[in-house]
Amino acid sequence: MTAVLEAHGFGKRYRRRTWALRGVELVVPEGSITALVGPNGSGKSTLIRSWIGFERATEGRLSTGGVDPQRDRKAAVERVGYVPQTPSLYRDLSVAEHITLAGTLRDGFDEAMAARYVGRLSIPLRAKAGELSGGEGAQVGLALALATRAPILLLDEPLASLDPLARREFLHLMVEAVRAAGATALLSSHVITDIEQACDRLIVLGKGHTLLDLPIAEAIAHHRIVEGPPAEAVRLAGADALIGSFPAPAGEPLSLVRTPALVPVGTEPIGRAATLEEIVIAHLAAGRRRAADAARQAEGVAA
Amino acid sequence: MSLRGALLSFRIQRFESTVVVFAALLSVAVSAVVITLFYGGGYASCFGNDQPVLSSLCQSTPAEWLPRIARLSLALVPIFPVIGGLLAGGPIVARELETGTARLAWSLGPSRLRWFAQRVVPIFLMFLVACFAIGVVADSLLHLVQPTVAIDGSFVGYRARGLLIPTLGLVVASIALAIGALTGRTVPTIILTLMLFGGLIAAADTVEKKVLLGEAVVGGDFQYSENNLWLDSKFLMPDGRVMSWDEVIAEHPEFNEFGWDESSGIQPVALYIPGARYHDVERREAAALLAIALAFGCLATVAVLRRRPR
Ligand SMILES: Nc1ncnc2c1ncn2[C@@H]1O[C@H](COP(=O)(O)OP(=O)(O)OP(=O)(O)O)[C@@H](O)[C@H]1O
Ligand SMILES: [Mg+2]
Repeated sequence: MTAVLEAHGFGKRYRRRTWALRGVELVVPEGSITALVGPNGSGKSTLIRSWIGFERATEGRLSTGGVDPQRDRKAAVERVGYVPQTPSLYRDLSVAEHITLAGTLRDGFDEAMAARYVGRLSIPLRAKAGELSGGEGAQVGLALALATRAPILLLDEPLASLDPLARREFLHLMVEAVRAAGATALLSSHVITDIEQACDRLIVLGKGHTLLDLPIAEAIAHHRIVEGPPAEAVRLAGADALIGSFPAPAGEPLSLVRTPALVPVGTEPIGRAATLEEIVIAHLAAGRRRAADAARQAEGVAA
Repeated sequence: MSLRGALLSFRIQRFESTVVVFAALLSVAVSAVVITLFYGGGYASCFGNDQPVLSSLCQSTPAEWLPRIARLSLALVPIFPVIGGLLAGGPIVARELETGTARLAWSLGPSRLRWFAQRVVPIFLMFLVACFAIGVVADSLLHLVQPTVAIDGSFVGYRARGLLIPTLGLVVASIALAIGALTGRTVPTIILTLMLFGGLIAAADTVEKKVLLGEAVVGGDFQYSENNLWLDSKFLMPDGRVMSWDEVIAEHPEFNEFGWDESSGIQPVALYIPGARYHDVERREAAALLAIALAFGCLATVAVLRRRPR
């Protein structure tokens, strides 16, 4: 496995405020499509911006396609197609002019490909960016990023402003382009159901650090929802850990447990497979609980 | 840098480019019309003499209005490099940072230097050409309004015509460019640029006056003409020393009470730079201003290379 995006002991603090990210250890393998999820303010955008050299690391080290984005930002940008979280098109330029502009700024930018993508998304080339809807603007941003033919795609919440159908099309286009080019993509998102279809890896960021980093198939295989009180659920499922429990509308609470992937021969797996959304939510809640416990403990020590 | 890139730069800054080009074209057109009518209609003969000419031609409406328009245009000339410089240089980086388009441009283009050159060079070239045109127009209009003034040998209209118009314009535009790249906001850029430019001009004035005083010619009032650049009025003592009034008083306290006495042999003199040195002084100031503009250009480049998009 070759890693194209790496973070080692990475930390970022804005000015004199608290840390946005700290001690992040991540490796994104080549050819994967990775989803980066986490609550608001967990540092997803910060991490993505740092990989393209837009933010300086306060501590630790990053690697973007084998180069340190802080030392050699130019080489890092060359390897990346980026869609920022907030749309950033030139209001007065048409879509076609954006494509031309990209062509003048980047060697090897595929203008024909960009025009083709825009056409597939049925956005008129002559339309001014200022007259596009938020979602259309995001789609133009993706078309531009894809047409860079960069080996790495960093997409910061590209789905946020899209309707369900547009989300489907967008992901379809992205997956197709990434697979065709053998590229690697990392996209942050809050829409977990869509991610499940498009991505093969999942990274969950809690406040400032990684809670989960594994292939999605593995996540699904290792988590089950079991009915009953938490302790009972863990015992029944032969699980190694209880991640969290949800109140159920009727009857017993539901517990999300982590199980070994392989169940002994002849035994039926207990409960049902967890959805990705349930897994993410349970891990986020667990992360928050741990953080609160740690804070209480620190207070106790101080007192 | 490609032609396509240059054209897109104008498209991105369409409003500002239009204003600058339109103002310059309007100024050139109006002046051309005024100058053509003035000389073609023979009104020039009405001016430049000591006595007013009382012909019907010289008392007609055009004879009155053509110089009036010319004077008004001349009065507007010094504003152009300032407003134009703010419009040309201010938004280039500031607005792209403010609206977030820098994020797109800097992620599409690996070389920020290339982006910067593509954005700055066409706009600055356009603005400089406009300034040159305005500078030449100002020379011609000054000649029309004050026919006795030798355009190439006079300090009349200093800093408000000729070569110093594009140079001053370049200084304003470079300051605005640099402050825009540092602050990433348009309105503070305009305010700070105006303040900094004002301070800079005041400082340059002080330094220049010091330098020129060292080179000044000392002459009696009779040698002084409007073409010269007056610097100071002093007193020439019988022994050849040049003193200020305060210094004279210190030596001759009696003058303070009874006034100054012709028979004392003390002569009032003017310290000035002769008009013949106009281009010489103008070019030197242009070179100094160019260096300042270059410094701010470098500052802007460093800011663009180092800063993060907002
Ligand atoms: N430019 C900045 N200056 C100061 N603090 C910042 C800046 N950008 C982000 N932060 C802080 O860093 C933290 C992480 O922000 P970031 O934008 O990376 O979160 P995010 O995970 O992308 O959130 P969201 O899901 O809302 O997009 C937040 O607490 C935020 O307040
Ligand atoms: Mg974000």
